[in-house]
Amino acid sequence: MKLKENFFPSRELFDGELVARFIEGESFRFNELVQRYSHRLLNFIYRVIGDRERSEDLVQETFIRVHRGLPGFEGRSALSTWIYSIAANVCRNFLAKRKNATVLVPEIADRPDPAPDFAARVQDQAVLGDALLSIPHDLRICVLLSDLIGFSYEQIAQALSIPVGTVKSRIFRARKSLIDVLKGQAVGSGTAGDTSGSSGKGTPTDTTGS
Amino acid sequence: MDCDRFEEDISAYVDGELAPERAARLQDHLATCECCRELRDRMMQLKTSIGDLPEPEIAPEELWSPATAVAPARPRLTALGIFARVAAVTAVAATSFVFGIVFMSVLQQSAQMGSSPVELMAPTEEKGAPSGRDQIGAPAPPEESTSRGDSSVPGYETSSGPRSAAEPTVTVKPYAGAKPPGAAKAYVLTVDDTVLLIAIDREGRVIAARPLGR
Repeated sequence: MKLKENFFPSRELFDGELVARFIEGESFRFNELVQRYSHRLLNFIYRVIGDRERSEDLVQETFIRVHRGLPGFEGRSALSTWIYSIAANVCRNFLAKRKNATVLVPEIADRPDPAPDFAARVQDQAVLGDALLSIPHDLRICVLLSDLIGFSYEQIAQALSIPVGTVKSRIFRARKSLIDVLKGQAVGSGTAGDTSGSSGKGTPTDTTGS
Repeated sequence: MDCDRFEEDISAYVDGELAPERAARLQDHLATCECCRELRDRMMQLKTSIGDLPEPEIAPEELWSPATAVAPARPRLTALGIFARVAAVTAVAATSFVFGIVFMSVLQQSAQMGSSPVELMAPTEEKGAPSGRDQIGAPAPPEESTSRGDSSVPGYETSSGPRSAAEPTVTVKPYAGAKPPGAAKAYVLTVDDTVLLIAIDREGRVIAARPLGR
């Protein structure tokens, strides 16, 4: 591999350039791509599945699929859209396999020293993280892509192959549920893998039995 | 007041995704409706707080020695760690190296040699050929690895097995010659007969790697 004149451009490469150079044979560009995406991907996946160790595995799984698919990536969507689309799939597969396991999320009222009001609770990162895990994962993925990753509705729609209207609806329902949880009024099941809505107040239970 | 029809719009409004006419109507409504204003405020707080959620804590990467490499520790999530495992699954055999950066140069070199993953995974007679074994940081091959525990490949051991006697000889020396632009450091890495030049930038990213003339 010769060291080319324009090997090291004076600015950081755009995603598209990174991909093009990778495809041309600069395989180390993949490392740059990993560096560029790994932290936010980890956070996204962790917030979706709620399991820190497994989220590292899923980040790797995502990059493996990205690496496989990159030569055929035609740029019809933005690279970030495509990467998160893969990540969302990886998460959904994981959650589907784990469907029968329950992630118990403490009720606000059961926590030691629960914060007194919505404003305090919404800023408590542990409480907010748990609240996110207590809503259905389809809603959670949408609201995280919007608020954690910064995607537009259009981008989320592309990434998840759903209509923009569905994105809007899911984000709205996610927020409504989260607000109810944070106000201390909602939620029984606390199952991270649950796709249906949850209802009623009560202590978290194992809805599927072990 | 029937605010239900505005609720979903409030959510889109907070995201800047509400069409101008609807946004104008919503703003008119918000001017007169305290509970909708409260909902808007709560949604905005929620959006901001979600955006501020931090990454999970990752333990600092263990400096691995041959002892740690054999222990069943989970590989730490760094870009190099990820890349190492991607490389192991997608292309190339792993060898125990001293530096993580070397992993990538081996990948590049093997890609140049045009070897297929299967060929590389099976140790060959050729001296210096990388053999599929211990990986950087931890011997925990991903489930997709085609060579995991493949006892039909002669000489192949699972990475949790004992190290064999045929360890490659690895040496690293600083490279005193001209470095590529942007390189902070350069090293000469020798693995048995293979000699590589590796250049890394200030952040430790490999920016160039190539075989040196023997």
